Amino acid sequence: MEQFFQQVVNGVMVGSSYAIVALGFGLTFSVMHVLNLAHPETAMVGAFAAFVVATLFTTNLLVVIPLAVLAALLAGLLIERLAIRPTRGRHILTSFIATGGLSIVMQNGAQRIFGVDPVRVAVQVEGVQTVGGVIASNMQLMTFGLAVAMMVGARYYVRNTRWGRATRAVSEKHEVAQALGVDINRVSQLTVGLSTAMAGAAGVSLALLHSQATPFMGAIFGTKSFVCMLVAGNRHIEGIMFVGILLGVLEALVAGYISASLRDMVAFGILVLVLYLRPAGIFGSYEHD
Amino acid sequence: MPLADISLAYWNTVLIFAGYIAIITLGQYVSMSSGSLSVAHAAMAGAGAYTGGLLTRDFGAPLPIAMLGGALVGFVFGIVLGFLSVRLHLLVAGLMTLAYSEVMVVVAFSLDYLGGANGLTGVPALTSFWLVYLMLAVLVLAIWRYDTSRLGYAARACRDDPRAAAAMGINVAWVKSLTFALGAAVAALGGVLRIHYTLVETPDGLGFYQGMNFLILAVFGGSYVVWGAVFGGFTLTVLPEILRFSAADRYILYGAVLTVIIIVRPQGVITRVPLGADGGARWAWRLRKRLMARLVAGGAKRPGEER
Amino acid sequence: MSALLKVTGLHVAYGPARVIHGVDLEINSGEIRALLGANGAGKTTILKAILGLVRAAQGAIEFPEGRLVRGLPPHKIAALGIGWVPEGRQVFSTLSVYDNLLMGAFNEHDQQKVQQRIEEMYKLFPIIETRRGQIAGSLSGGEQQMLAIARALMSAPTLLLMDEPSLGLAPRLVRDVFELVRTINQRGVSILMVEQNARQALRVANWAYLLEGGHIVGSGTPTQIEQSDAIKRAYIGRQAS
Ligand SMILES: Nc1ncnc2c1ncn2[C@@H]1O[C@H](COP(=O)(O)OP(=O)(O)OP(=O)(O)O)[C@@H](O)[C@H]1O
Ligand SMILES: [Mg+2]
Repeated sequence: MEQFFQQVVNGVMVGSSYAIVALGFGLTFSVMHVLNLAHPETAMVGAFAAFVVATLFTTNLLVVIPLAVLAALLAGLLIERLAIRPTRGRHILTSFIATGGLSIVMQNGAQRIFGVDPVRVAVQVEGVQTVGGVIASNMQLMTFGLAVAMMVGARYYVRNTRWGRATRAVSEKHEVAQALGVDINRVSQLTVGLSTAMAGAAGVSLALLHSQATPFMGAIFGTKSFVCMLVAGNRHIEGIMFVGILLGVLEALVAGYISASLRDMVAFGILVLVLYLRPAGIFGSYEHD
Repeated sequence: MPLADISLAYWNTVLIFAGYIAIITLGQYVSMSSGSLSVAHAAMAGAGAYTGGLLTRDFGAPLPIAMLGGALVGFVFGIVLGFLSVRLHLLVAGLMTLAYSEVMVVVAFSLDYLGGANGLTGVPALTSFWLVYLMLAVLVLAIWRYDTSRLGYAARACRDDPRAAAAMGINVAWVKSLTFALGAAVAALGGVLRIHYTLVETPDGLGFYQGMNFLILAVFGGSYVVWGAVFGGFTLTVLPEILRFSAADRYILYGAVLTVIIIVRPQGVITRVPLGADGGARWAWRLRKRLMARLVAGGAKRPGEER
Repeated sequence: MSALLKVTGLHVAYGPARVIHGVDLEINSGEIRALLGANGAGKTTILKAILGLVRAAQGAIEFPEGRLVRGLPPHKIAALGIGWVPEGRQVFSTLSVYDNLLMGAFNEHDQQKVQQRIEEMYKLFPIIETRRGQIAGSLSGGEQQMLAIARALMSAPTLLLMDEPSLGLAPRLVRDVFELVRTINQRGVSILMVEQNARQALRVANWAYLLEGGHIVGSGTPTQIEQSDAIKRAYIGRQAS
């Protein structure tokens, strides 16, 4: 039983990262109707930014994390300008390829700069917390806290701010919103910026947990966060969080009790089953109009 | 060995690659003609490759039988997947194909009979340059005919407006599944040709990233006309070879070219609109010409540098 | 009197399909003008071109006269004081009624003014006040139409573009809507109204244009239009049944 709870805890920690990447994926999709394939790559940018800062300047987390998130955000703004804005309103596959091209550029660019092998991100957080035999490292708890803070922040922004309201309006009827005075390019920037900042937080979390960063680490998030987004539907931020964390837990359980190599497949299987029963996603539809 | 020979052998290899990749992309095109979104065609090609490889290696079947067997397996997988995803939203159906690919990867990975992580090896070399291009020509012709056939029109009706198609009396589920399966069969055929040239098929080749690649090839070339698929499959295979830098550099350029061209010509490079009809087309045409010039010059100047 | 909005030689195309062929129209301060025409004549397209939502291939759009707005992004055109009541209401159905109103005043930074306008809207549309916390998608069609009008008025526009405000409403509500159009106009808002309901529209308008296949085929006072052959051919004849 202890082992079971340990797996669940580990799963929640990893799943919270999936969740914030998926959340950004879903936010960009539902607002701009664009599939940003370069989105997971911004997580990689965050991880490498953490590496650079930690190696060259300081290992103080209060510096490392904000700078990493900022780097991902800037990368996101660049993606927005280069591949999302020009493909807005066109067929979804157009944005798919435009951002896909950028994702190839980013992966190989990182490889060019940092090499193929993982680089070491030397930031330590000491200590563990034990509750009834279940262990969580302080590092795990910190990254979990970061993910939760990001989700709460995103939710607050979308629900309770002026631009958040405009974002929801654009997501629903962009022409009307524009005619009411909303600058859609601004919404696009804010949405992609927020989304990629969250991905950056996930990337730096992963880099800190595993003490390393690799050029192709975005792929770890890519498919899984895409799956989370589709399964959850994009009506509710809570839905995406829930599915992301659930996926992390399921993976941890399957890896712990059955076999590590089956991990990806069983998670996929369960998710497809869910989709088959509820084609619109568990929490609502991502079809528009 | 004289330089010219290396260069020739090298380009022979590249062109054979381009040929079967164009065939698999044609499969993608056929499946997409009824409006499906698929990242499963790498897995379909893989299924064909494993099937064909086993047939020739363990059962001593001749290549035509292997091709037939591979295509049949692709068709069966395609029809099952097609029926499973027909009532789903486009993106969810895309996810189904993604899940299918990942399952295929795991299956190939865990069955020792299929070679596990090392992949299927020991397959005889049966594919030649001429065979690949003969098959490509036959398939282009057949698919060209398909485009103007009843099934082809029905498929496009399903793609453009499934509700209207159903109202016209078209059995949308059947047409979509059938065309998806036909495309899967074509991709599987490409896979059979591939394994008898590369002599190995590994599980990684079946996954999402490879599948996405074929989707990109088809959409990039233009998914509304058969030449688009051939053009996309062909140029995007040859392009990285022309861009003779380090592997990372050429993929950086490759990605950038993809992004730029799809923005300039969102409908794909080849469309029914004749080239030169608008600025974007002329631009892409000029770019192509420049690339062709480099192909000739680059091939002769620094031969056999890669691989 | 100088025109508030002046459109000259407007051409619009959706890709290869040319829809508007050289339309001229204008509206003076304080007027109500009607743009009439059959389905597919291009009425909505003209409004969207004025708003910058579809790109005009050719022509000049001045608002107010002398100031060229063609080519500006929609949010900048809106900021000049044009309100829009889109065809088919188009309220933000997942936002609350209150949030819909706030969206209407998106670029008004003075919170006091915003609250004041909301109070005005509540006075004009008492039904909206009782539904303010509700999701707009749950309103009835008529209520949604009121909300769409209120939302457009929240920006305190000088010109209001109304696209078939009476569409799909019960006869009683139709009368109310046209009454409302008058009221709004009396508060100093000029109105360009697209309507299928030609009779009613001609009753409130002081000038009307007749659009057919993307061409203006007639214009004049309501009496002139009512008596013209063009309108019988294009429009009323089909409606009068
Ligand atoms: N987005 C679009 N793409 C292509 N064609 C369009 C588009 N929107 C409108 N059209 C075409 O332009 C023409 C004019 O359309 P518009 O909506 O302006 O007509 P309308 O006069 O408002 O008609 P209705 O009274 O039915 O609202 C129609 O033939 C329509 O099919
Ligand atoms: Mg209209």
